[in-house]
Amino acid sequence: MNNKFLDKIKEEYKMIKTPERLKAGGWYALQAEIQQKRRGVFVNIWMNKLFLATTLFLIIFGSVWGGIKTVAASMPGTFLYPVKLFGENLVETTTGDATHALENRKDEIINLVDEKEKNEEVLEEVVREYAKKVESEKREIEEHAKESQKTKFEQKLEEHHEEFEEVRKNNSLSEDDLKKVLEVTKKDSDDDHEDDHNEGGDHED
Amino acid sequence: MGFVTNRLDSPLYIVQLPNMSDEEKKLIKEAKKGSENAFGVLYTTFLSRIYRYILSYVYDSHIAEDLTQETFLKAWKYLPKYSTKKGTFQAFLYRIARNISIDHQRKRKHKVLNIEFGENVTTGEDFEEKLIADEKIKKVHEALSGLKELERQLVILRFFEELPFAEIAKIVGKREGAVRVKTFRAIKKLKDIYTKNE
Repeated sequence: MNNKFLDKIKEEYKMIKTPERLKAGGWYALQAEIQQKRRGVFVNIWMNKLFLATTLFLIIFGSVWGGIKTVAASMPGTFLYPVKLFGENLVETTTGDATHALENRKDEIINLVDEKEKNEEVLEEVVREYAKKVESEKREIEEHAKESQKTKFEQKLEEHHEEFEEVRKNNSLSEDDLKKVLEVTKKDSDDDHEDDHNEGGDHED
Repeated sequence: MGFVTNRLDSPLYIVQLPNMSDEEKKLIKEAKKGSENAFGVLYTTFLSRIYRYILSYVYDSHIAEDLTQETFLKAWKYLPKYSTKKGTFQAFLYRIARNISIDHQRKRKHKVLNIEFGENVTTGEDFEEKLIADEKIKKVHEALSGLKELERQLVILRFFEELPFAEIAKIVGKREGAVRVKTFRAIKKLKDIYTKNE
């Protein structure tokens, strides 16, 4: 039985023909579908790559930006402070602009004065640094700089002076340190005026 | 393809392990690299067998057409993962076809793949073709109706499609030894039914 019976069914089975429509157009339809899917995959890959690149850029940019901000906000005695000083030196060497460092010292003084638990030692150190920087810059300008640079520097000092005055109004505890920086940032003309005044006083005496 | 002896009911069967021709290997290699033309040749080579096999599951020529297309689309998708070490390309296709057919049966609804090919109007000739195909598969189904689904598939794959046990084992996801035993049990069962009816 076996072969005959099975052969008969097999014959029927083998006689099943693939529809002509599928034979003739099946591959073209499938190819179109494959190409459509390929395009989709291609777009997805590019979208993924774009997304990855953007994410990577944002991470790197964010890290660098965050790093710069952290370094810029570092205070004397902290781990990152030497990096900040190094950056200032780099800027000064490449651009010849010393006001950047001066601006940073001014911010540090104001921040230290504003702190609830004051670190007098550090504040004194920064004030000293600030004064030293102002003096050296004044000398530098006197010797080499043009008139425009002198004006710019004086304007900067004037701004700082005003800011220190403002801070002094609200902080009586750091009076001595603030007096020193106010003295340093005072206009030369004011000094002259005071000198004249003092000289006049001497005459009267 | 492998060669199977005609003495199907003999325990002393000789099965030559399936070998893919060099041409087939070359086409697969090209298709894996993304050649649509190579895949097109493979499609044409296996279309009839896959269609017939799916039809033996779903008994509806319309559904079988859609599922055949779905099988080849899936085969294209998974082709980069296919390795000749895992079995022949034929077994790979049958396995996909089987899984798709089983999924279809589970859902019990016609999931149209939306692949339109040629004119979507059924011509008289097409209609006749479908009727003949449905009629033939009905006869096969009736003849094998006394068997369980897996037994029916084993008989089809082994005796009608003439696949070696090693490939069938890969298609149905069972061990080769188990496939051999189940197939001969199915044949014995079929013999009993036939003798009783005679």
